[in-house]
Amino acid sequence: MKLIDALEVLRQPVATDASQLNVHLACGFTPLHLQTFLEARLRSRYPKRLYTIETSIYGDLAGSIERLERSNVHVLTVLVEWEDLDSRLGMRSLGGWRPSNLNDIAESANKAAIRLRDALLRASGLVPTVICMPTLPMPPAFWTSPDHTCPSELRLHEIAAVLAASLSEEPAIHIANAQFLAEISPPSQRYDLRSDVLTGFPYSLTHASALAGMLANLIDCRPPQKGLITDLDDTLWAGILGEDGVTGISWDLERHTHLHGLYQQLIASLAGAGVLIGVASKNDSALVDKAFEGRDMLISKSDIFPFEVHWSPKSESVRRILHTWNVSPDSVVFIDDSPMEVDEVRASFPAMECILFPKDNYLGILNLFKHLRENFGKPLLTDDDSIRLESIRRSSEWRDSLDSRSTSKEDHLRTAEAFIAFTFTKIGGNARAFELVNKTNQFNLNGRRYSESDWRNFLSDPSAFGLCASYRDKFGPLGTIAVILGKTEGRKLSVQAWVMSCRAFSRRIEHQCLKHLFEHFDIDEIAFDYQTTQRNGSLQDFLTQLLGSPPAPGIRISREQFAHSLPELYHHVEGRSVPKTENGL
Amino acid sequence: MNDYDDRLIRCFVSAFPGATCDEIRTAHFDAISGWDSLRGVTLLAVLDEEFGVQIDMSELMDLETFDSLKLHLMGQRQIPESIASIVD
Repeated sequence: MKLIDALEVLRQPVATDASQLNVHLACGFTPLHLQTFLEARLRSRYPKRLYTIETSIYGDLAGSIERLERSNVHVLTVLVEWEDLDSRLGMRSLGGWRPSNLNDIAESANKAAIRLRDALLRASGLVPTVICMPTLPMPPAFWTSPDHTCPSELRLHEIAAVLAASLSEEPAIHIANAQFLAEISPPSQRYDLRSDVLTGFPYSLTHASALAGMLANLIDCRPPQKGLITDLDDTLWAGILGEDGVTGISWDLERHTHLHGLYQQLIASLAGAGVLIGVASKNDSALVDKAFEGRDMLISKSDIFPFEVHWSPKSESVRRILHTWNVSPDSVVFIDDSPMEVDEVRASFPAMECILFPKDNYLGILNLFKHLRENFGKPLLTDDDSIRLESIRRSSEWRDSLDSRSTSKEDHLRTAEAFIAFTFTKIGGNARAFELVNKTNQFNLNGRRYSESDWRNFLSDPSAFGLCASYRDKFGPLGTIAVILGKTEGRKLSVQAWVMSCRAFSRRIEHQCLKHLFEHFDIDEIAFDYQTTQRNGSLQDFLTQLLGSPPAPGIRISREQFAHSLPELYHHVEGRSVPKTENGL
Repeated sequence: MNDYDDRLIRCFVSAFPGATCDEIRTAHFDAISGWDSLRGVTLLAVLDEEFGVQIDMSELMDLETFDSLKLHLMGQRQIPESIASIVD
């Protein structure tokens, strides 16, 4: 994006009902065009949001972070450059580059890094924080030739790396990826000495534009894709299983089929990070079983669910997989080596991204891997990510069991050995709860989405609470499956958000959630901030059952009304709900 | 109005969104609606990006008006870089 285009984006009017996101941009230099690019990049991504970018006093990065209050800031964005660690590492300072100065520069940089770390840890407790470590080259301050690294230079890189690493484990801190930035903004084209000296803005316009794009992605990140459906023959492995047999398929260096091994490795990595992996293959299912059992693949059979292995059209397989996962086509990627199959699936699911597997194409496979990381990358891994696929498998077994049993649904629920644990979530304390509250699924009170800062702001209200429910039964654990955000006022309670995972349907967990709210808060009535959405049919059915008529905005349910329509509940409610006053929230 | 004028007007409008085209064409730079040093720096950056010509703030203020700036930019463009370096 050019500066003139960025300025034009900012001239476009914003909708009057746009939600607002306030970004505090902290840097040691005049932010000038970076501020323009950042706001334009954010507006381009989400035109219906109003962004405001406030800046702090230039030249005192640590001080401006230390002075930050939560006030109305939603996201803090911090740019650390070398001169913020020691001004002699910037070109606007004339502090001296004698070899005898270098040890002192490193010492003072270390002290500055410690101060910055402390300030950033405090700030990230107030607001989500995006940090970019030095992007500009170091000045020619070192006594070695440019192709020879000076020990002092390495020491400074170590200080910056230790600072970044010590911050990266914090859940509310997101650190910009230097390697990715180098791909979109070559280091040699980033610094503009003329601009730095004349205006105090050190970035070239191309670097400011690229950096702003990356920061915008981190400030207001899009939710990741959910699932990947892959073919087997000439995709997950090289060869045709039906023709070459179990021993004839390969993914190794000897047979020049190593790319398929790398693909398996990446898919296994995605599965480990909670991405749903399914297989759609025209194949003999018994042979596929043998291939997974008899060969030492990098992805195991347990990483994949479901397997759709038969001779029906691929689109039919994809449809069944989507149904099992209960996700929409636009959140899934389909990969196959056959252009015909890719076209067939694309025609049936225009919203789904359908990718031709780049067989024997080394650059193509590398680009595919990067693209998959872009689609599926997430800021945090939660415990629920590791059990998501297993949980879906168990839910499927639950439904099959319900369909096939001769006993009634009531017996099924009674013998499920179900346990529900309720916990109150703290600010920044439950990444899974935050993820869940942004699901626009069939059991969502109003479809409203929460940014990380909205979430924190809501929970910082003394009258607000966030309640999470985890579930397990004899079929296995489902993890955290429901979250409720609400506020209490005397003997009344209002619910602003209520989302339950589709995996948890048909278990009366929703009834147990309301029962828990009535009992825990000892209230007489619950008001719901309900809105009909295109997808929340399951919630509508539930509320209709409770109310005796279809729900409308502003609905309320009294304790008596709820007790009257409450079915038998068989869950064992685990743990003690800790009210906000007891855990200090 | 020609293509050169259009490009130059677009630069001014992007830096001074409150100014009219007539105002940009006729007023002294420091009399354009919304003029301040920050917007002036923005204009210089946009001109550099659009025309590949680096102008200092003092140079811009000396040029005073749109037409002078246009002539200056056109003059800069007419001297090939290789010759300009010899002249320097």
